[in-house]
Amino acid sequence: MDINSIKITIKNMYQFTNIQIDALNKKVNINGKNKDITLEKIEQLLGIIYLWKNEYIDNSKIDGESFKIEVMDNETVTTFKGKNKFPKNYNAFKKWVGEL
Amino acid sequence: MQSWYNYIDNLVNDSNIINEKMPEIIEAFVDYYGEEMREKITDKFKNVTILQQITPKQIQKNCENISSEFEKQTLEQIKNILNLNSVLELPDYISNGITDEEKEQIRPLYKNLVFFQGHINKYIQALTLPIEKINEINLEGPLNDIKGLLNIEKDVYQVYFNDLIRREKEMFPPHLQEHINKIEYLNHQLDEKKINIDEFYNKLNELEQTDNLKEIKQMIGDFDGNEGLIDSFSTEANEKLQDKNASKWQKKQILQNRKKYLELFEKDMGNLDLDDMKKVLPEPLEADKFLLYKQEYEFSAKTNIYSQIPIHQKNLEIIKNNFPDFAEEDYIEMVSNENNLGSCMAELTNKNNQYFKHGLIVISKGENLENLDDTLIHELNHWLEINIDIPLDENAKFYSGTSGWVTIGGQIIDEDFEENLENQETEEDPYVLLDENINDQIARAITKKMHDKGTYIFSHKDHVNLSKNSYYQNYDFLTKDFFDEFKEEIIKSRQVGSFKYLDYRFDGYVTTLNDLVNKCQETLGHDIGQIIIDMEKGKITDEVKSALEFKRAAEILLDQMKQCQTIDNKQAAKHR
Repeated sequence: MDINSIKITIKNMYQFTNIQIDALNKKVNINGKNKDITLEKIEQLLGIIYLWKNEYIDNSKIDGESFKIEVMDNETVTTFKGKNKFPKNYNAFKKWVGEL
Repeated sequence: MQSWYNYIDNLVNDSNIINEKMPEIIEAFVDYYGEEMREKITDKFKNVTILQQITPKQIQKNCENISSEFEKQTLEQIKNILNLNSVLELPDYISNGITDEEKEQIRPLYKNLVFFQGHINKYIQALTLPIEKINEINLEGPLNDIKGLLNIEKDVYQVYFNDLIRREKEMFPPHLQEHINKIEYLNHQLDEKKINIDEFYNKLNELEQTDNLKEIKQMIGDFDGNEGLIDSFSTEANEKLQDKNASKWQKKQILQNRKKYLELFEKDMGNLDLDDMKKVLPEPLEADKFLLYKQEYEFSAKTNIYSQIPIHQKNLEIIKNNFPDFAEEDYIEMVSNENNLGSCMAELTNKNNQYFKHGLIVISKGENLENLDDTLIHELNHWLEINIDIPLDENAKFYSGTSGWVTIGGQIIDEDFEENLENQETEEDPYVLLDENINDQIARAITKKMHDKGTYIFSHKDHVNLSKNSYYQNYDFLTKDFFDEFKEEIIKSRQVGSFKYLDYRFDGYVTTLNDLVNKCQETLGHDIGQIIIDMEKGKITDEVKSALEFKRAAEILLDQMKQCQTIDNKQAAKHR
């Protein structure tokens, strides 16, 4: 695994979700609670987001939902963010989050 | 009992209820903002389209929740009649100690429960059946108008998915052909009416258990949002491989997926490193063509489902009338997205250099039904506070404006309208959270005024709980006193869309408050709901201590703002 850590934030009118994954130690912190996470699960996430554009933004809409994902490897931080506009497989990402 | 039926009817059926109640909604806004705002409120609300949204899955979930809530309430009533400490004692008491008199007392409640759940269960059952089966269910009373509310999502997707597989046979390696032939045969039998829908699904389920379908899904993805390995051959993936800014892990993922895809064709890629793999991989398949084809299939499947739901039939009609440039695909995408719980969108149309402003509000009936009135008022207040600047340049393609303290912008709809031009500000507006929190406080006050006058739109009067609706209201503990103290000035600055006006007035302390709210979200946001509950209960945890420090900082800021006001008042008195 080339990834060191991943940070995820999802915000909407009814919730704020904060997830921090420590890929090296296979730990995940979901809204302040620590759990173990498998490499397979982390790879599953990378398989969902690897083709995403870095930004999906619709500024004409208020409320709705926004997200930010930061993937850190040894060299770079790759950031994906969106507001009221989503990649076509966003639901798969939400499902992945829901299953954590 | 009747009110529960009405509640469910409100949930699932199209209704004109918002338009019918609009005069009362306007009165509640006028009551809050004052008579001088009546004209603006009335004009603004004439130019807004409100769509109600619910997905088939959400309908089902809500019915189940209602059923269990009704059961909980009934059992609680029975427990009280029998003077028991807990509903858990009920089974034993009913088997052993119940008197005839008590039996008579609880019988009507029990009968109601059975009657109600019988209907609800039929309703839920109907929601999960294929459309062909619906006529076999005998539904009575107000719940019988449900033909369009079927949760046929999975089934419709399955039919399309199978069709896609059989049409695109050449995409799959020979060892999967046998499986594809079986799917083709099943589809053919269904088309020829040689098997009925039940037999079709049963046989399909048997096929689904095989590993072959797993492999097929791995290759082409599914309609559940999962991408397939084929996506790694798309132009998008090629561009990513060429992109100097793309990360190493993204490129590696693309190549790995290509390798896996080819391995499914039983081509041995060996243990080549990334550079070698680039050399040996064939030119990309016609992946783009296939992906577009798949997208069209998905759209047809969704359209098929949503066109059967009364709410969406009506919405599509409204969209076609009010927003001719709004593509049906975008509508379907918007309403099938369960993440869109409530939103307000500003539209600016240019027709022969005449500009028209229009608002589009979407509210979801999928969540927090008991407080849906508040969500509606929240979005309407956003629309009231939206200011769109008319561009001076008649060739302008974008507009800008404000919603309260937040900057907004979007594409102007004109005859050359081309969707998705990229000119959007991508940095997050720093005032969003404070802006939403204040908007929410205003909305709750207006909703309360409306409810106090007996006007309920979607919410049920026995279940509404305005203190437990949006996430934004968790920050009231930092902002409520500020809002109560300077309400008039805050509202004024929001109506003109100028945070600076307010900040200048209070020597920059409002910016400090905004930073404090953002910092609080950054530190405690993930668990703020629970922290507030703990704070209210007087429970002291590390998080509560931290929240109390934020609260203290907000109180100090408020004192400083009050001093600004005192100095202003003294100066004003001097000038007089």
